Amino acid sequence: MFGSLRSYFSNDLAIDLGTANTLIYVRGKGIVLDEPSVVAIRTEGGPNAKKTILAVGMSAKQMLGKTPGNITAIRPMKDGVIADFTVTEQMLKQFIKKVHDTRLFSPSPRIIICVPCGSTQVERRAIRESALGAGASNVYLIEEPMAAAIGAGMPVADATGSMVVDIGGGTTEVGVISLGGMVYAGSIRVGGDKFDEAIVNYIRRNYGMLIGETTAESIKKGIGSAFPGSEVQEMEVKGRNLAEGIPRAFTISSNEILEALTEPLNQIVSAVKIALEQTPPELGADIAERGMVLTGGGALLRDLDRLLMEETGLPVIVADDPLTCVVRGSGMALEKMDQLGSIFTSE
Amino acid sequence: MTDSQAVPSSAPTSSQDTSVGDTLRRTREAQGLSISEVANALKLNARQIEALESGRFAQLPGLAFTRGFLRNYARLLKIDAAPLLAGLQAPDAGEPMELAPASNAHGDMPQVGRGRFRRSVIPGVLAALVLFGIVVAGWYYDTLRKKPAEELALPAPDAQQGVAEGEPASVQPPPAEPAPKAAEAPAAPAPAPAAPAAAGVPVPLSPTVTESAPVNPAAPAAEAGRDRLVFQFAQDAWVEVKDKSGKVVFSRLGKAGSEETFDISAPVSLVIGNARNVKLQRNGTLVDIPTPGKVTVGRLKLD
Repeated sequence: MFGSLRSYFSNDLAIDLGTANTLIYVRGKGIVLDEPSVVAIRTEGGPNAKKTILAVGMSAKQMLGKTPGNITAIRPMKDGVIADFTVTEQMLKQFIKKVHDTRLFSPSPRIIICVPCGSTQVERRAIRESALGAGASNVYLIEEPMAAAIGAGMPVADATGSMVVDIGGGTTEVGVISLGGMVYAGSIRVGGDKFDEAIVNYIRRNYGMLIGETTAESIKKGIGSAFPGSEVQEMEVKGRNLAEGIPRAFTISSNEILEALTEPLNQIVSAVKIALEQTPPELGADIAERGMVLTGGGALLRDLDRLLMEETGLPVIVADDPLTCVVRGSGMALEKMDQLGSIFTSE
Repeated sequence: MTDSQAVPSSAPTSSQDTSVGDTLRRTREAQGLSISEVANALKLNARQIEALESGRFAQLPGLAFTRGFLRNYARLLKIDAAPLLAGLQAPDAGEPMELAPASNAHGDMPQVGRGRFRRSVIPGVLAALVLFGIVVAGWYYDTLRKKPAEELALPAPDAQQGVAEGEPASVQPPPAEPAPKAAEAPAAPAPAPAAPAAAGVPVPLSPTVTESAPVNPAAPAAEAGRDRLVFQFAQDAWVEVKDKSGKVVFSRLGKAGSEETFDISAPVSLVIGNARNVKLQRNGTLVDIPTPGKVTVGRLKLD
């Protein structure tokens, strides 16, 4: 009865609070915000010294690694969970303020928020608390593989096994879903960030050059691949030469990046294999027929599906628009949250 | 997303679907690939490849998977997948997705443990409530009876004054209480200038006689140690005066703008509500009423 009244004042939100990007879905409107999870904080001096939030999202991300002493650009999420509670809360508050156009009342929406299935109770409570602190009236948690599967359009409610591999910025989540619930859930703390780190380390080791994480990310997006392909791409990269201490340019090829990414990719492959081992045989048969679905930004790494296909011998498909799968799935759950209980998770 | 939902897009006769399949087959044949080679590369069944090429999408697991298979197939053949996918229904455009498993029954399972728990707990809870009620009622009546009459009289001094004052008046013959009565019955006869000769006689107090007359014999003796208190009320305020034994000498509400005079025998303790708006004179000299902080009730002792 009060539902319609409440929705008049506050829109319910689904949030994918990711390590790399935060996406917000508003009930009835769709995805309204897609910004990097970065906050820039300025420390002011002078008579009224205080810390102010300089920027959030895209403009804060551009400051990463380029800040002067009085500005810090922070990524408050690490490995899929909150690393800096206060900053996360402020970031969420800013994002919610951005998407809420009701000015008369301060927004107090009901929020569905995604958590990695491997997160601990403490980490889940931290996410819940920060959403409450950001102004939510109620917070419901949903596990990321479940949201990803819904968003990818998989038949989660059927009595068939659906396997989803969500490769995010901080974590890779593997889930097997049947009858609206998780049959198997696995999570490893390997994701896009680990790829970047691996590229930075590889270049330092083999070229004696130091590059920033933003450069590493652009290399990964540009020429990164997970499986030896037919064509070899090259890219010019600038970094600081460790021996000379002087910035230099050099060229790196996609085969080298493939080599650099071997270790994190192997971890993902073994996580998928473990999941297949643990899956009950009836569901395994369904997965062999349909294959597994890749979602998340990591799915955009070139030929990652080929790698998994060759390693497992199963069909692997990349979901439509893999970056937004999780938030779209949470959004669908949001639309039906009043009728659903089983797909949400407790602490 | 279930098979039934995939049916609309999978009618094999639809020209669009057959054209998608045709494109794939022709490209495959042009590249000299066999169905089994494609199936091996995509890790699919030959049956599934044939279904893709002939547009029998109903035999495939569902729209999301069909789109993925098509995309993989197109990439293998090195052709653009977008026009092929355009022929298919977008995954979001279909019917709203089912998120809860199908159900054709309702009801809760009987919970054995909980039922027994309830049966054993409810009487206990009821007994505890009754016990609590009895205790509260007993305490209430107890405090009500113990409460001294004068305290009850406090809130409405005018009305109950007579009752409350009756006893102290009879015990202490020289009371200044007549004042309240006098205020109520200003028409009291016979001015009595005699008793309060010590200080200037304020007007409203003059009718002190009514009761001081009968006790007059005792009056002169007491007169020596008595003080005259004059209260001037800027606003409504109540005043309570107790003697050294803690008995209430008088207690009343002064109306705004009025002035009251009482004779008391020191030492007494005074409690004055709304004290900032009351001026107190003792034998003609102004007495300061202390009101600590925000408290508006002033308490002081006169020796």
